[in-house]
Amino acid sequence: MRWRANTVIGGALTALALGTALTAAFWTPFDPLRVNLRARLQPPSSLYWLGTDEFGRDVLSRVMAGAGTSVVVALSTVALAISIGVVVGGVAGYLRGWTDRIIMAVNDALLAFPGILLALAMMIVLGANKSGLVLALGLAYIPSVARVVRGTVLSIREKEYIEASRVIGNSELYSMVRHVLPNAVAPVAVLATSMFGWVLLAESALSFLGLGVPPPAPTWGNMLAASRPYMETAAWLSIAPGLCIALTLLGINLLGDSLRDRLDPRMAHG
Amino acid sequence: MLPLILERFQVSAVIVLVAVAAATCIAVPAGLIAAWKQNSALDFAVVSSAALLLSIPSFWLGLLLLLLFGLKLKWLPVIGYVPFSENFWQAAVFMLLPIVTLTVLEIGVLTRMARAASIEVLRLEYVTHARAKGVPEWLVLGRHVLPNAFAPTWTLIGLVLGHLLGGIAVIETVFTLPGLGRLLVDSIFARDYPVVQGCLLFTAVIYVVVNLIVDLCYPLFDPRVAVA
Repeated sequence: MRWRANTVIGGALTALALGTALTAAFWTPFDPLRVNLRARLQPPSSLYWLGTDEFGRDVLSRVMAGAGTSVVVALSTVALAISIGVVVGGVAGYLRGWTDRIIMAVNDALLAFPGILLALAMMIVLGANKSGLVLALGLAYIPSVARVVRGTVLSIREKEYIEASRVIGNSELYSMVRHVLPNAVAPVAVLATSMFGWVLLAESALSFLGLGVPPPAPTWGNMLAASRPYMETAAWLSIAPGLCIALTLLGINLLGDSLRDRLDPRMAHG
Repeated sequence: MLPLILERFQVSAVIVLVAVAAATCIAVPAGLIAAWKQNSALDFAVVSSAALLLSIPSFWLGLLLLLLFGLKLKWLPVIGYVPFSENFWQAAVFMLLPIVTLTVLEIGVLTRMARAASIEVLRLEYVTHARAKGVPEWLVLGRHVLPNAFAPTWTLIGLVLGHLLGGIAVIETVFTLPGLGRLLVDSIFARDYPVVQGCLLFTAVIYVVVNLIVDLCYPLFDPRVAVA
């Protein structure tokens, strides 16, 4: 019963974030980039629901546009990390032997760096912009995907139905794509959900440090960073974007938990 | 460069170690009690607050704490740093908010792990046996459940330390502390590549060493694991 409540709350919060991101692509109450110096640092009112920032830009519009940026960055990053990670981990797990050893040695060396640090380092090379951010975060999260996929593939390839597929004369590639990969979907789906949360958090942390999406494009992270000098006089600037990050993460975490309980009973907690 | 990194690392190390120790001291008993009273209102409260804590970004919590204790209540300083060698109490005052921020955040992860591990141990036969022979409940929890449930949590602590070392840059930016993370970010902005590389390598080495120490400490509380 409690876990069903989790699914509902998690699903609702995630849907809210995705819906906001989608809406912002077509419509926001004001132009999130329009500077209006007469309306600087206005507290929340009936006109500006969440107030305005130091350039008189509407915070609600910027929070909505920020949802768009964050969701696009997080989705592309997860897609990148999963697609490369599945190929790398799948090849290592299926071929085994030296291929596996070499791939996993490199993989483990990369895993020795905490993910966000690796992304930080790559941002220097790639430059602080949206595509650089996706690439840096994607590369940083490939090793964990590869590890999970390799483990799953290693256990699946010993199953009788894979042997049967080989015995009736299917090629290795066919058995791999047709029979091994579909059975590895559940753990990958669970990983992808929690990774979406990590990436969202990492993206806002990097943007907060000034190494993510550059201003004036709004993201929740760089809005929080910009709010710091006005914290005492305009607290609403610090509260709205942070609340958005926290609620979205809460939604994704709850959804990820219920997904894990359903798809992967071994990892279920209690 | 090493002296520079080591000097900055001292600041980060104090914050991270104190925060992890404090978080463990709160999270392990909380997880144990939640598992003991599984599916009660108390358990529900612990699980929900852990989920909530997991979802709060560190820099936002830091900013809110600064806003509350620094700006509104004016109990604690907003900006500044004094080394421990100069004035212990003043240094502690500056370190308090960053440590509290990290502690609060890590409680979420550790509580979930402690609870899950305790639930598993509570189902085992030796717990039932201990209860059946009349061992008081607090002794069952303290002597039989806690030591066995602590092992997975202990492994997680190594990983959490690595995670914190990665995330420390953000906290040090919020609280303007001269730690390793701040050094890394500053040298990224200054395009000072040797220092960036040095910081990354140093962090990776620390991460590996910490996890090695964590593994080597196993036999201390679980004699079944022997160092081969």
